[in-house]
Amino acid sequence: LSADHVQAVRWSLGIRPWDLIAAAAFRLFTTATWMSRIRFKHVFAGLMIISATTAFFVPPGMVSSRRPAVELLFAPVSIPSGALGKWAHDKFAPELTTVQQTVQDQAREIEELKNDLTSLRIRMSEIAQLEEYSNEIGDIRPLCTRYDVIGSDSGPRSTLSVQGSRLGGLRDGMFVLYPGGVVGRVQHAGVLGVRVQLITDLGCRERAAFARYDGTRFSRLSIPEALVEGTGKGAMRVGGLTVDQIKLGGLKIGDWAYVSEADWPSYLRGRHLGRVKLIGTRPDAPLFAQITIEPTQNLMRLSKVMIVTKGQEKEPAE
Amino acid sequence: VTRWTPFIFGYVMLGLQIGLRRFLAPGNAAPNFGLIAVIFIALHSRRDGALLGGFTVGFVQDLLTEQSLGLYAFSYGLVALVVLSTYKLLPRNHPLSLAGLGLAAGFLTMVVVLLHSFVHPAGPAATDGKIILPRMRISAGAEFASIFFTAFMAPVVIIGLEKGKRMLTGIDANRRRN
Repeated sequence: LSADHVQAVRWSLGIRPWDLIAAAAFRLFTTATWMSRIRFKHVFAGLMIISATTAFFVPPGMVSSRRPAVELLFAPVSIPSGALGKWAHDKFAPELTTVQQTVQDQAREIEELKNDLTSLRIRMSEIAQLEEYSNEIGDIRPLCTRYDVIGSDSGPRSTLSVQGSRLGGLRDGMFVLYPGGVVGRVQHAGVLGVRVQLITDLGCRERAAFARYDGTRFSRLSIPEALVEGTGKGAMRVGGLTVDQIKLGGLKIGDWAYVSEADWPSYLRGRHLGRVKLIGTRPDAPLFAQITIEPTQNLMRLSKVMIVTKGQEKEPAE
Repeated sequence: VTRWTPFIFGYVMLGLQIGLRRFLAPGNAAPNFGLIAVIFIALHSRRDGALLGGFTVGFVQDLLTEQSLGLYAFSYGLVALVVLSTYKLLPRNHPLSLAGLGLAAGFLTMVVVLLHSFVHPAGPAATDGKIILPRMRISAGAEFASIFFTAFMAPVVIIGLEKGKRMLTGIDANRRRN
């Protein structure tokens, strides 16, 4: 049909499209029972369309910052069930015997001291260059507040919910630590819950450098700093270093990865991210190394974390 | 009480989900208690209540995860539709039929989650110096393992609740459907 034919039919009928729309709208809004035309299936279809649109077509960043965190509402169930789960896990599937636990506790203490030592050495070397910040050396613990963990992510992501609130002074982006090093950052600080994104979560990327302890002797490895990304499986990986760089730097399994992110406060630089667990090659780029780094503890099973709530104002202006 | 029971049940199951997941996750493959709640609600509520209950549980689960808002609401709405349309074909309250429902529901949720991960990767591509680091997506392997874990847990939880439903929940299993 050509446009002329359509025009001819339209004029012969004497009806124009906007007449039809106006008539439909008039009928819908003037009929006394128009609400009764809407059934539950229409409401449900609308909800499904809205949810699919929000999930698939709206950029995640636009919604996630406005989404409330409601973990505290579930604390009456999640805290006892978590305690029961921890007890059952330790009882029926213990990762270590009592003797091994004692040894591990001592090893953990050593790792904690090494973590402090690494951080202090890195900061001292920086402060040697910038004498005006020499008052920054000190214990990190007074800057932290301890929070209980009340649960984890309900989906496949690696996050922890802590028993805190925005009303208690917690804010997005605050740094979260444990005695063995870095846990992650506060992702959502709401009135009804606070969620911490772990460094092992997918999409979490931090810049790191490498160091080694030979006994008590500390040495920084001459390997370029690289981005460490969470794998979502309790570990991190580095894919931005070539195999030659690894060989030249002499990186070995058991070496430490520590924070060297420029935009982190100076008093957090040098904190441990984890230990090198595996060194291989990237399957998609054989000239590049794939280094797997694991935190010294399973971060998802931490029962307490320390959030750096004070001292952020001490960050020197660049 | 009956009207609110599905929501109370959903609340308890989501509480268990966030409380227990980190201790029941070998290799990051944890059972999805929220999904089991949706199956239970769909099996024991009228059609409209089942659909609304499934959607609501999904929406609240969206508030408890770093995934995009609406992802689980959409998935669980679909799951409720599938359970409503298939439950008559299966023997009622048989462990295998409940496990089959758990498997089908888990598979449907996994497809939606992986599709979402394809559209919006958890970690977009980044450059480290001159090197391009690839996008980071949800692991299909962990999701598969999670499905089987959920399918294993579904009969245990649902039949356990069936046994004590009159005493604990007040849901009448015979009161069903429009």
